[in-house]
Amino acid sequence: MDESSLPTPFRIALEHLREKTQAEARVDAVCNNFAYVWVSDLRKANAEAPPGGWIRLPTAFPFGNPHGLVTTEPLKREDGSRVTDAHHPNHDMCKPVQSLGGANYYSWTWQDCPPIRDPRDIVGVLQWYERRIRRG
Amino acid sequence: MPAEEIVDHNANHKKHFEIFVDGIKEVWERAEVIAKAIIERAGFTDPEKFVLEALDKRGGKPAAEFQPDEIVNLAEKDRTFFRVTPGGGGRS
Repeated sequence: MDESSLPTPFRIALEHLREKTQAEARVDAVCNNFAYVWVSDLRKANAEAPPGGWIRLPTAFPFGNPHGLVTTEPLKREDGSRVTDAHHPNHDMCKPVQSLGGANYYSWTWQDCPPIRDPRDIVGVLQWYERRIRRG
Repeated sequence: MPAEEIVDHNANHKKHFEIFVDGIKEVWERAEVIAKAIIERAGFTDPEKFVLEALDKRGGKPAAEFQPDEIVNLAEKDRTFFRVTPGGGGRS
């Protein structure tokens, strides 16, 4: 999609993410002021898991907090068991990327997390997602 | 002279531990360090809100994670490269 319409701080965050860790990061959809950012190298806990997922970032990022993750396949823990923490298969939140395979929504919130202050904090946000997957 | 007096196999006796936290070099003069001190030295002003992840290599995958009040033994395996990750999180 055309990313030029997104707010400048968001685009700075996206560029920083591409430069630091996720060269192929892209916005696949925007719905209700949340962007679905595809990150192909999102580290999964289970080695056999298909790569990638959509992190839901508010277009107001870094002035708004991340909320949720959408994946094509259910997430698994390192031992192969399913991640059950706030898992909602085929949830409405998947719809914006459903045509791309989005089918599993994890309604994780930024509650009790450190405040996000800078577009470059997006790298830490991605690490936070990876940690939640690992602990799920 | 017994061999053990010549060769020190105990890494805890090292005088300096060079580590990298989010690419920032830190040198500690003891093996056991509280995680929040490592986080704080890396430039985070509110270390209690983060966790420290030990990586298996530079840019690698997490091998262990430490809450701010946990002790990190820098003499152990996979304790050279770290990253600081936001703690907390809820669900809706």
